[in-house]
Amino acid sequence: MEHTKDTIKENILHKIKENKLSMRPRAYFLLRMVLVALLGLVILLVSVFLFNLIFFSMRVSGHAHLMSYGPSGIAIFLRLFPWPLLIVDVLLLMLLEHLLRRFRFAYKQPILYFFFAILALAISVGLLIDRSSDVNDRMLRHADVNDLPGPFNNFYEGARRLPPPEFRVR
Amino acid sequence: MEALTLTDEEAARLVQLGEPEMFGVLVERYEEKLLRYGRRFLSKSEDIEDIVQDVFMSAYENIQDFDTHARFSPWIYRIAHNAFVNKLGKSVRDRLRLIDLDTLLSHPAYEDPDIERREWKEVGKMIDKALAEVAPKYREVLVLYYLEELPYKEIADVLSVPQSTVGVRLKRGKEALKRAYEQLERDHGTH
Repeated sequence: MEHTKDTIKENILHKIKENKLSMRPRAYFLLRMVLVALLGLVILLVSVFLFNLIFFSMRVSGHAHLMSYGPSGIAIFLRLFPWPLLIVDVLLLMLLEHLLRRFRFAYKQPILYFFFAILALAISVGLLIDRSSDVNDRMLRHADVNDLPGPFNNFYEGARRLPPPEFRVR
Repeated sequence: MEALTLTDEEAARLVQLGEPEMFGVLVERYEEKLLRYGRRFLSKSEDIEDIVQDVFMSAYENIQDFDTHARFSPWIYRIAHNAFVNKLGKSVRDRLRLIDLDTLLSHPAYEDPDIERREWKEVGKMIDKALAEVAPKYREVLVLYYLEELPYKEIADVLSVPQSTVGVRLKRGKEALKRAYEQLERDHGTH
């Protein structure tokens, strides 16, 4: 055992001395931390945007009012709810949670607690943006004249989508 | 500074500042512990010395990532744990790392030194004989707590799980260990 101990220590120190084993520079870890933080921020911003779009969609299409029409209204609301957006959003937040799990502030909490905390944050900020500013309404006006870049025209015009024919008043 | 009076964290700090020979102090202090941990966790005749050497090499390469305000022990145990889990093989690694119910929710488990001390002798006897029969997820906490004598908080840092999960796994691990031990006793009794 003593021979083994000396061998392992000697091997390690020998490799260090021969420059066959070297430390990664501090900058490497700082850069990695920055990239993780940036990626996390992008994911969170996209998630907030999607929740914002969900709330805007319910408001501008009037679908949110269906909830006050009893069980049949709720059933129609659930049918018209933009579920794909919500699914994508939840998947993004799961990815964010997985990304942050290497940090102590994340893993010291049970997974669901941390996930629901960032879900609540994304929902709250998304709702706040829609209800306390007119940014979505302005974006919709720009979308009406195809003035938004890339897929944003479709996002905003899609938020005002009509219900399927079976739900329209004849 | 005398190497013997240095704490692990001070030694690591000196390594970070460009005194690589101080890493030898850390190797001396943790080599036997990690070898023991590896033999108990892997429980097969793996080449533990090679794996532990790889652990120290990885620790040296990543020493600049160590926060000297935190404890060194859970940091190096985490590197060792990841190396041993990788050695166990893909299927076990997947079972250990996929989301499991232990980590999803909080559990009312807590560390009670008095109870744990009373159980120590009993668990120690069972560990000697039946540890290899216990699933890796529970084996790792049993080894870290009863053999490496790490507190819940440090085990949580090694495994990157909440402290309550450590308590739950320890409780279930003891139950699994007891069942395995009793089964072994029955098997030996029939031969």
